[in-house]
Amino acid sequence: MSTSTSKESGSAARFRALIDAHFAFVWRCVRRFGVPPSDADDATQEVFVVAARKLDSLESGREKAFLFATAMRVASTERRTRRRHPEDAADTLDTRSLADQPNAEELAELVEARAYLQEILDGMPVEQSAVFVLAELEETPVREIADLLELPLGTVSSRLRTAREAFAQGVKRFAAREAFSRRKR
Amino acid sequence: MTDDDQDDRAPRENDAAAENRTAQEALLIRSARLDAARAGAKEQALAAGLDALAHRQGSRQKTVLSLAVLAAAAGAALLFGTKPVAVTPEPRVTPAAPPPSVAPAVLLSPPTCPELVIARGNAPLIEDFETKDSRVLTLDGRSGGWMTYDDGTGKQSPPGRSALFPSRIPGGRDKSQHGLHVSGGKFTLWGVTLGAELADAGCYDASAYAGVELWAKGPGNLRVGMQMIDVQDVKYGGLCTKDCYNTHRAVITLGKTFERHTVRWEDLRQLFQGGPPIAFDPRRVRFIEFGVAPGDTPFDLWIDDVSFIPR
Repeated sequence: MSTSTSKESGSAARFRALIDAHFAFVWRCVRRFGVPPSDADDATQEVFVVAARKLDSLESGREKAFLFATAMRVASTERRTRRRHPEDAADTLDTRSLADQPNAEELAELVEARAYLQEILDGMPVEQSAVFVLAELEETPVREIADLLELPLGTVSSRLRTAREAFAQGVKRFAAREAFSRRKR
Repeated sequence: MTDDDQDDRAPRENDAAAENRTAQEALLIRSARLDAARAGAKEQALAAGLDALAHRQGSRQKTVLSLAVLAAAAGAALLFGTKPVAVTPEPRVTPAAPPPSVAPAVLLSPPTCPELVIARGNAPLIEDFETKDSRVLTLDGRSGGWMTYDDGTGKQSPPGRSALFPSRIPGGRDKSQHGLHVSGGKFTLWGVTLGAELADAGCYDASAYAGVELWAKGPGNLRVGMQMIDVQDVKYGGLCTKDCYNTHRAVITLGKTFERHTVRWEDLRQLFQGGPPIAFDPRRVRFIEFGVAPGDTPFDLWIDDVSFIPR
């Protein structure tokens, strides 16, 4: 009995550590894989419930890779159940994290940019968006990305290059849209 | 330059990419860095996870939808891709066939599912596809989501590894307006499977029912299966350690128009060699599944009104 209790306590401690270390990361990932802000809390929670259920078989040192893969799957299912609206992005803006506090116009610009970023990410094949999110938005070194995704370095670099090109093309469309909308104002 | 040199350069490459960004690119990247969970979300996730931990029973046998589905695909790929298939004659059930002579299902005992939902047998409808979500109807304790997966050798719509949502039936079918629609090209390894859990991460005891029925149209053959925990790989919460995913199935032949098909528990067989033979036990079911074999691709499949057969 005491062994069982001790094991459960150990599992609980490990799970708490998992949450502490990776909650924010997982939340950002599900968001960037297309889950709207209103559902990102639930999706993140689902990822960690899965982790809790699989905790015993979760290989030490592979927790982040497992969470990332699970976040991708949960987000894939979640985004198909709801239609995202650009205005949802406003919920995610925490201006306290900005070095320079935006005024109302700058904030509106960020909201619009965040929505458009999601359009670009959603338009990428998932293998590209995964690498792009990790490299460009999470600032993860390529070696760690290769480890997380269990891919050769060359594959990661190739996907990242392709994703960056897609991103650049998307931004050009964004800039054109911006120019057009500003001309209309 | 060695690989290590290249690896070490990676962060600086990111820095260089950042320096070369246009103002618009920088704006979009900056906007993503503002993503942040609301206060209290972390604590709620912690509580939910600890609750899941506390409710584990035989946690090594637990699993979740996506991993189990992918495992099923992987297991099926292994099975179909490496072994001769259809060694055992496939039982066939003709459309709207009267029930065969009733023989009691062969049962294993005792059930060893880590979590078990026992059906009362009072609500047979599994899914009528008239709701807009991808979840099975929450009747008689059931919970799960419809998904599809394939062997990766061809293309299907919706694509493999995605959730399935109802589609509008052109012209309707009697009072039914929506069904499950999956179509695709040629597959060469093990084909395409779609299905749903019946009790999410647990087992569903369907012994209160006598089988399943559905309305479907093709044309072509369709494998109707009930996946027991016994054939699922232990890595994904099952009990199988070798030659897994030899699911119990029956083959029905679909016409070009919707027809009602019935599959009773005694119709289900393990169709392929591999692993120990297991008698079908409706008390230990994880998934209901519908499969299209490579020989029946390309395919255009409609499924509607999936239901258990009351005893």
